[in-house]
Amino acid sequence: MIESSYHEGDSFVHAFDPRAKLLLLITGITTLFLPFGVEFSAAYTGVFILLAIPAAGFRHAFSPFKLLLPLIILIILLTPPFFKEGEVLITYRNWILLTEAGLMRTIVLIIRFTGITYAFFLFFTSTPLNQVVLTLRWYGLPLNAALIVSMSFRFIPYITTTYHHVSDAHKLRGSYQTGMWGWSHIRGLLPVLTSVLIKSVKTIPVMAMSLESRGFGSNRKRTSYQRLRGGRILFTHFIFSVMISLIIIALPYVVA
Amino acid sequence: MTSNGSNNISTSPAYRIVSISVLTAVTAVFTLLIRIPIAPTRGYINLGDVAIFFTAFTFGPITALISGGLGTAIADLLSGYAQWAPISLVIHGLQGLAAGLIVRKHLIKFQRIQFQQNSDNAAEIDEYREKGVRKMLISLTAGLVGTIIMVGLYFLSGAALYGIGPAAFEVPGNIIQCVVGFVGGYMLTRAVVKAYPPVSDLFL
Repeated sequence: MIESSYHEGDSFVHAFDPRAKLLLLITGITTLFLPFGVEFSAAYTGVFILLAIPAAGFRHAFSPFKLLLPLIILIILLTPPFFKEGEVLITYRNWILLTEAGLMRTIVLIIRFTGITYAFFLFFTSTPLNQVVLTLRWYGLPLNAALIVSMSFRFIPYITTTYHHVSDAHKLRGSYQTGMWGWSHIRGLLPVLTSVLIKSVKTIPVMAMSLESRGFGSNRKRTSYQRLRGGRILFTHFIFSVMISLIIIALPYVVA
Repeated sequence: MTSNGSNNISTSPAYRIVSISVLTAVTAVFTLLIRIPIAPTRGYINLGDVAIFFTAFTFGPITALISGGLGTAIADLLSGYAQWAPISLVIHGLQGLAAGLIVRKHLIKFQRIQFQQNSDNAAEIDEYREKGVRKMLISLTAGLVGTIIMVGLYFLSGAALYGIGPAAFEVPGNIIQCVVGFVGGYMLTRAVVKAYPPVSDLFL
């Protein structure tokens, strides 16, 4: 259940420091919203997709398209009717179905959303979740917030197992339907969810006491089980990511 | 002192951290695991909003803000929709915060009265019924505001990301999800408070 989209690998993107990668992710997404023209957005999106191939493997690299496809179809169907300007390309009787402006806007939106999806995919496919939390800590995320994130990941399997146990128990009693969803199924869900919530809520005081027993709230200096690498590698990767960021922002102006 | 006679621990920092973590996990599991198909559109609605409204009604605005936002963001990360995670973090967080703030002053007071309803005094029963109606209205307002925030902000962010047409197409589905979330959250709050009364002392 808590398997993230991370894929182990030794690609260039994997080797890159997650802190520098996060900076590039933000720059990359911001660039897709800047008015640089469709060719630059397409080029940047193409780079994201090309980088995804060694990072996630050829087969897995195109899996975001499966998730994107319904939305791309919606963009193709529903964006052109909002644009009437420019040369008319397709009409049906008196209705204008597609204009040049509508076509351009549709292409821009598809490229932008594909680019954003692949930028996030690249980051999370090459960065384990513990490193994501450490990266956010490095950027100033408070300890309590990091604790909440890591504890939430710890609780997800527990609550999932509880849900399965409780629903199995209700199924054995015949009060919870399986198979096709219907009113009886939805009605049977309420006692299951009630039991799951009560069981979850009951763990809170015990866990809170456990947290305090382990020193939560004490003023002593904290140790860290895992640390991100620092020193020369971090410096090099940061310089590299800043340079790439400057290039992708400056390139459209240079070409123009 | 709480209704079960123990000292109120809900203000302790450790308690707050754990309650937010548990409810974040609950929101993520409800979003990921329980998906009810909607036959006409071949889509589905998830129960993440049920967990958000439950948290807002039971644990208050701050817990709902963090666990609602973080829970849905984690669910997006785990299900491959990472691009939606920052947006979900903000929108569902605000949804939980708004619903929690509206019920904050009223709901728990009413829940406590609910347990004192075994009274023979007709005036007390009438007062309880009157307050029950008010409680329902306050919860409805919280649900309505939460729905407007969630649907409105998803529409705006969708319009910015992939255009007004596709963003408008998603509005009915989001409304259905939010209404189901409110009804489910309200029913669950009542059921959980009835089955486990100490939960009414955990509102912050």
